[in-house]
Amino acid sequence: MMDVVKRKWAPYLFLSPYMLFYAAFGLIPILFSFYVSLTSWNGIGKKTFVGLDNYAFLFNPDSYFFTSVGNTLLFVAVSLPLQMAFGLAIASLLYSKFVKWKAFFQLVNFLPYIVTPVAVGLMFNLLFDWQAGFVNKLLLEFGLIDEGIYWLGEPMYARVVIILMLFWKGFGYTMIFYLAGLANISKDLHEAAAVDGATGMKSFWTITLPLLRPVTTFVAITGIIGGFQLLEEPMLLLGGAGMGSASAVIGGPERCCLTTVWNMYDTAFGSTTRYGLGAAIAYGLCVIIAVFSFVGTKFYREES
Amino acid sequence: MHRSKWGRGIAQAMTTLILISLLAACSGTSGGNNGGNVKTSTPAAETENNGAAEGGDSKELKGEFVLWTWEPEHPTAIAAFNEKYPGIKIKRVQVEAADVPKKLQTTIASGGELPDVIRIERGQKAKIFSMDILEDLEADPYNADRNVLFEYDAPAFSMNDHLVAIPDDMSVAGVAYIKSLAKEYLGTDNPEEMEAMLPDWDAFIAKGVEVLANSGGKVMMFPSLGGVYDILKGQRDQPYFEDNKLNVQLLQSIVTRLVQFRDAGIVDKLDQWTPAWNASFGGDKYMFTPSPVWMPQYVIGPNDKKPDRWALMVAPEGGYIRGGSSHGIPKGAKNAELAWKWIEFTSMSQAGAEAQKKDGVYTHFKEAYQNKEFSNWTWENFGTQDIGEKFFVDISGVTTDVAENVNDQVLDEAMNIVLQTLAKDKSFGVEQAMDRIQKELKAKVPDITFG
Repeated sequence: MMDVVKRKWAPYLFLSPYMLFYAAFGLIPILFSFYVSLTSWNGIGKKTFVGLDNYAFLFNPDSYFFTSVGNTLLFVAVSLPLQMAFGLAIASLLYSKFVKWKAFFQLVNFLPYIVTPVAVGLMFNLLFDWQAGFVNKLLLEFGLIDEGIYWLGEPMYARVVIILMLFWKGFGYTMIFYLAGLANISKDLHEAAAVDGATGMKSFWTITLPLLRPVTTFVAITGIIGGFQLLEEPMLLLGGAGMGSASAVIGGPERCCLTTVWNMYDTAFGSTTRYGLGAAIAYGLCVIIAVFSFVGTKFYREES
Repeated sequence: MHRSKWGRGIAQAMTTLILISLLAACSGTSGGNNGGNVKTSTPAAETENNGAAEGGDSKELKGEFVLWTWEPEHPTAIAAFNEKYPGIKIKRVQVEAADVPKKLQTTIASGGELPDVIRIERGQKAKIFSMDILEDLEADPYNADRNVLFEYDAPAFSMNDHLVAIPDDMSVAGVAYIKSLAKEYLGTDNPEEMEAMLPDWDAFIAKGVEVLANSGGKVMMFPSLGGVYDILKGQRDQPYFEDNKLNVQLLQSIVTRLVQFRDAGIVDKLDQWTPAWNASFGGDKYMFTPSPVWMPQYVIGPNDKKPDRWALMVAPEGGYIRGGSSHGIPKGAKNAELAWKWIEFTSMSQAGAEAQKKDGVYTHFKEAYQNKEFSNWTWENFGTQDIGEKFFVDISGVTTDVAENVNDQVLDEAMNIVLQTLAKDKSFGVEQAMDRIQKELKAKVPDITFG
């Protein structure tokens, strides 16, 4: 009898620490934030149940939800392929016989990825400062421009700077995955191709690249998911240097760089304290990430 | 078999241990509140503190209060306070100015314990006041006397006409100018003559156009449109918002003035608080800068090493407030009376004013400034000019302030966009600016109405 009871309850006992952790720090916050998304609440006063009003507001023309989703998609769509192409190129170069001190160059290329986002944002802010930035000074020095470009004040330039920043920070990460992928490709294949008269480029396009497809798919999926969580870099880049700064515009000029997470953060904890709407934005983002993850996973399975 | 039994036993014991610790952590809230330290004192301990406070002898007051602040410690003020109240200790918790509202919200939402005093930066004031978490400091047991402060303090630090925070550092503001440029292009560098020459913004803009022409475009009046807006906003005689209703006429008049400044070409496009803006104080391109009390010490001084280049005057159309901080006591603070003694001493007494002055802080204790010796303040960049008298007598005498509510913060953000666009796009006019502001406000706070 005791044995039966033990057999029945033992698994639950062993699982209970995790289940309690998950309930306390995962499930309950998820359910609670969903409930909050159905209310109007400033975090202090009483919650007023408003049904789906917060979700309906996401579709309101005054809302910045879809603008922020569009901005985020744009950043991901432009920066991710660049990161992947450059990461692959660097990985192939490092894997080839032409490069010495491979470990050193691997480290150098990977370093931007481990720089804290706050430092990245501030660094690019200083580089692209309109009046005192190094980039403008360089362009002026070479006579390429007559007047400093307002990099962080013009929507198009601000987007370019963000994409450049994401590219610089992210290509090392893709490079590491491609290096691992390249190491898994048998050298026999390349040797056989060489014997058959294939050039280096030919064997890269017909052997290396197809065999790296699972890596490419994985990097793309994780890149898209990570891209949707973009917050700190643009926030620090465009958040201005201090109080009263004209550049301290949420989301940058014309809100051109307002990402979805930034929009959520600003709605709930920034210029307004609309916890309900903030939670609704978070759930909207969750749905979008889920869709991309689902599609990506499907691709990944097919590739595998 | 024996080993497997042992292994199972250890695993079960570990699991039970983790489970117990988890459950203990989950029920920690009530346990935590019954801790024995001062911060989480029991009702009995509180009664003890209160009893001592009522006893009236400052030496008998004992305990520790918690202060959320970002301000570095003021050693002289703390030493003077400790001399008067040797039994009261201050536990400082470092919280960045911009993070105070967030930290308050999350503490309240999670049922955590609020501190006994919070330092409130002006930019966050309306948001914190609107949370309705601050004690009425004019009620028992505080009984703050608003008459010891300046007249303009009452509307700015009150909710429903009751003081809920006591201002700490003076932040009245005028405009500072480079004397050599004023002498060359305006014919005088005497502050009083300058004030007579530039009584209002129309006169200022007209002179600015002359200066620009006479200098061949080399000298402008201000480095940044944001700075101009700071002055105009600070000089408004009515609040922007009455509850959720925006005073469109008032805002439009200010935007119109900004457009006039922009179109006159007398304001450059520097963003405030950037390296270029900081560096501009050491140059000779901009004649004027907005100058609150903290400007000589924190901006002009560090960026301009040449002495006696600047002078201070009352801004055209009067004084205004820029920045500054205050202290408030959250409702239900456990050591509120101890905290109040500290606020009262440092911000509302002669002894506190004198001690704080030694730490570089001028308080809002009005009476202190009746003594010329106290208000006298010179600063190397301003030569021998008594900028203390200019700030605390001349400018303070013509300064007003208005109440703000939580919508003002949203408007500030919308104005940042407008200022940025005005500076870079000459075709962006008043109408477009007002449309843009309305659009931004609607997106952030749909309840706002425009009247």
